[in-house]
Parts: sequence; C-alpha cells; structure tokens
Amino acid sequence: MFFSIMGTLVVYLLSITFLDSILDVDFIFDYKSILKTLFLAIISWLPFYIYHVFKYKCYPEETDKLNLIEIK
Amino acid sequence: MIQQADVGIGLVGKEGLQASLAADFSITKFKHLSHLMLWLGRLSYKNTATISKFVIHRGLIISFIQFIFSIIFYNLAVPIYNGVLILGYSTIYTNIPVISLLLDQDTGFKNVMKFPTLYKNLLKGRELSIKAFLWWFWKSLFQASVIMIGAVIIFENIFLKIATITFTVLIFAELLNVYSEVINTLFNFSLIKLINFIIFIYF
Repeated sequence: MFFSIMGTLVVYLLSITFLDSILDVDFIFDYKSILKTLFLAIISWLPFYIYHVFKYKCYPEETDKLNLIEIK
Repeated sequence: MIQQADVGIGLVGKEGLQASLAADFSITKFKHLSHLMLWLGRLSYKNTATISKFVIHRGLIISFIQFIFSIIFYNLAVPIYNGVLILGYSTIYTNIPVISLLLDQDTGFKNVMKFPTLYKNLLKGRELSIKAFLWWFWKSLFQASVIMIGAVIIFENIFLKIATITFTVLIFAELLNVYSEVINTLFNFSLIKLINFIIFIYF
C-alpha cells in the first residue's frame, strides 16, 4: 500500500512535467500552492478519517476486537 | 445440483471428475473447503466490495466537481478537465492504490478459521448495501464541494488555474482515502511515521 501510494505520487509529479500545455507546472511546484493544495486535500479527507477512527474506537467490528486480542 | 447453485464446488473423487469439471471451483480434498470459503471466499468478497465502492466514488467525485464548476462559473458548459487528465485520473493516477486494496486483510488466517461465525456477517450483505452506497455518494459530494469551493476561496485568480489546483487536490484526496480504508497496512505504516520522516528529511 505504501509503495503504491508513493509510486502514484511520483508518477503524477513526473507526468505533469510532460503536461505543461494542460497544467501550470510552475504553479504546482510552488511551495505556497503545495501547502494550500495539501490543506484542501486534508480538509476534504479529515472528517471521514475522524469518523473512521471514532467508529473503530467506540464501535469496533468483530474482526477489530479479535485483532486487538491478538496484539495483546 | 452443482449447476443450480450460485457457486458450485466440486470434489475430485475416485468415482471420476464429473462433479469437479461441472463446478465453478474444484478442490482435491474435503478439508480444503473451509480454507476456500472462510479465508479466500471471505477476503475476496470483502475486498471486491471495497474496490467497487472506490470505483463508484472515483467516478462520482469527478462528476460532482464538473457539476459544481458549472454552477460556480455562471453555468459554463465547458469540461473542467480535458481528455488526457480524465484518462490519467482513471488509469495511472488512481489505479495502483485502489488495486492494492486487494492485498488487504481485515484479520488473520488463524482468527478466521477459529471463529467461522465471522463469515456469517457477510450473508447480511452490509458491505454493498444501499446504505453503503449512500454513504459513498455523500462522501463524493462532500469532497467535491470542499475541493471546488475551497479552491475558489483560498486561491486568487482561480479561473485560469482551476484545473491544475483541483486536479492535484483530487489526486491527493484519493490517495488519502485509500490510506484510511486500508486496515492492514504494509510494514505497519502510519501517517505519523510519514510526517516524522518528512520532517526528518527536511531539517
């Protein structure tokens, strides 16, 4: 999973250099726009992740309970 | 009988191969049945359901982005992303992480074999129910709205760079979604460790 996510990021960043007629490449690599972009991505994802963690902690599924027992 | 069933499992016996040839799955020993159903069948169902939900989400979010783009910019009937970006989005940019969900395991082999009742929960069909579909529908709508409206609020001179900004956010958001859905991550990877690693490399 880790390698697939990192691989996709690398593929995206490499491929956009070839797509300079479609995307503004200099703008993407500007650190301010990177921060803003990441901020937006996290804002759109975080509520669902918090819900996911809340569900895992408060109402775990049977397999989650078994996994916890196995770890202990 | 084996062909009337939803899924036929045939056993290779001394009497011949008739049953196993007519079946969808063929096993050589009866003891392999529990492994086939409780482990392989269960994982296959769960992972296929998760991938289906991701594919639905992937298609819906881009439709909602287009819809919101048109509303924000005076009902402009122009596609926000051109063909190359759409092609890249549905192939190289999002395929590998989604396929990596196939390798996910919600619990270990020993647990599944020890507690066969875990299989029983799948019979309720909650993994791909209407409720699950509506949840992912809502997730797509919310994320598309945040991406489009957030981009308009945060960035200046948005119109000329709208495709660049929203497409990059879309890729990041999709990768984060995959991260939060995967249960058993490879190498016990966590977001905190990644952040620590980036801070370490940067300083």
